[in-house]
Amino acid sequence: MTLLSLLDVSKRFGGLAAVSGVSFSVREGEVLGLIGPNGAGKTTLFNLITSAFPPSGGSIRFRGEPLEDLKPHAIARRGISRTFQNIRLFAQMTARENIMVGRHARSRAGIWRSVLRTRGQRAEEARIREKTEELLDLMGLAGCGELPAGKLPYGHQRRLEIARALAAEPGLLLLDEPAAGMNDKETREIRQLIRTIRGLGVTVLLIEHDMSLVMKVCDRLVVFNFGRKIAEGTPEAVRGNPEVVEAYLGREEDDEDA
Amino acid sequence: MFAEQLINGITLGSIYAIVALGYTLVFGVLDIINMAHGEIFMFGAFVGMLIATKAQAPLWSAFLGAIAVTGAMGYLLERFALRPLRGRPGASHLASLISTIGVSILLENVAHKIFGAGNQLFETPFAEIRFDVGPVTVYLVQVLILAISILLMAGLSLWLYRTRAGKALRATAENLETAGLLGVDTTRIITATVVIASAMGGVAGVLVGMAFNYINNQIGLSMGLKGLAIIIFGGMGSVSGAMAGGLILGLSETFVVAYGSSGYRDAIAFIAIIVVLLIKPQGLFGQAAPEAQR
Repeated sequence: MTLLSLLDVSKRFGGLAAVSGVSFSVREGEVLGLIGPNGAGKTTLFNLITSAFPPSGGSIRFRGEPLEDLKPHAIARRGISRTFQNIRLFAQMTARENIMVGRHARSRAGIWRSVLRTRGQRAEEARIREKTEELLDLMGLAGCGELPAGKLPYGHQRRLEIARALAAEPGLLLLDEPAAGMNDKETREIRQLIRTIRGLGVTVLLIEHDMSLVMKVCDRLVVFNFGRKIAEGTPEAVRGNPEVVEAYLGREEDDEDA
Repeated sequence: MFAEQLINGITLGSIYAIVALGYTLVFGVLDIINMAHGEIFMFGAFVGMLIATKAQAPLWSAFLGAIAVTGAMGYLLERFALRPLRGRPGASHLASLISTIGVSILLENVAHKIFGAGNQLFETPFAEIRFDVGPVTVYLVQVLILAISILLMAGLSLWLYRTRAGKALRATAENLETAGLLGVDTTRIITATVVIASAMGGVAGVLVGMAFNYINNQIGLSMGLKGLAIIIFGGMGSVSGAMAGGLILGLSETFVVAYGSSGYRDAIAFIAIIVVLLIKPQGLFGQAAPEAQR
């Protein structure tokens, strides 16, 4: 079943076409990898899905509902969460509080009720705390809960950001280079983590440059170059695609020039 | 003498702290100084005066009235002076600063039109009630100001650090865009912040009326400047900085008057602030910006 579908999506910044005429869909329960050279438009696509800015053309639908006119917080509430290429934690808040804010999209108690501290409000806070501890454990962050997020080691920050995104119990999780800057051991942990996340029933859209990770963890791949989709298919099929090889390695003539 | 001055200083300082909290909350989420905050504070004082002195109604109703009026003013300020400018392509975020300056001039003149330029008496039935604790004379009003200030500051801290909405506010203050992506309705958070900050300004206005027994349409300006100095001193956007800064300024002003010369009251207080900033430019509790995030 299709969870997210993009139809002929484009984004221009002034004269620059960052994304042009891109169509593909994400199926429920799969891990779909978005790969392509730097500047191919992958992160722009994430920003379009989460409505950081509107597309110049085309439509994006989540569970059949168009997303273009929704505000970012409304999209989060419909079940799309993301992490960032350059980690964007609330550095001055504790790890635990970061996850609690991530839970925001799933909880209902409002500002005025929080002042009055109703019974429903207190029950809600108790549920948030319970879920937060679960996520800290799941991400291997137990014991780090009270530390300010900005003081955690880099690998922990990456995992905390994923925990914060999962706190909203998303249907679709967008991971933007979760293994960037990590060593082999940490990358293996991320691979394990993505499998665990899929095991929870969360569909994953993954941007990643580490090819061994992508090949091992993704069910399907969509390949980008210069803002266009150039290939789509299983990791094996994409690996053998001449256009993909060219995008990554350049043509043979280019090699001779170099 | 010393103990009495200490009480005076703490009373004054806790009022400063509440005014500064209003500035710091708004600065936290919007990254601008709300230049109309002082005038909203002044309206709180006038509403309190109308209810408590003119209508002779009980004091608690003066607080409720001031909260209602200044909270509504905060809503209107956000809705009509700040929101239309926010997120507009090409609009500098200084535009909203200028907009709040416009509102402050408007409010000061509205107050001038309604209440005139002179001092207005702010009398409460128990202004003269005092009691002696050993050699120290304490006014009931001072105890009341202190109690309300502590309640307000403790309540705000609890709300910010313990509740879901408070955490959403702090998250919005750290990074508006990321908070939005996590499902926080940042427009609502900003509106609520300006309303809460303004209502706190209104409470501070009533407290100042009670402490000094008179008010006029200029008190917004001088209190506004002090609130501003306090948040720079305490660290922009820092809640604990606003509280500590307010107390320090209140105490130093009081002791300068008591043991030095009243003419130097403001000068010495501000010199103290300049010295702190020379040593710690980000303010007492300010975080050195790790990197430019916006």
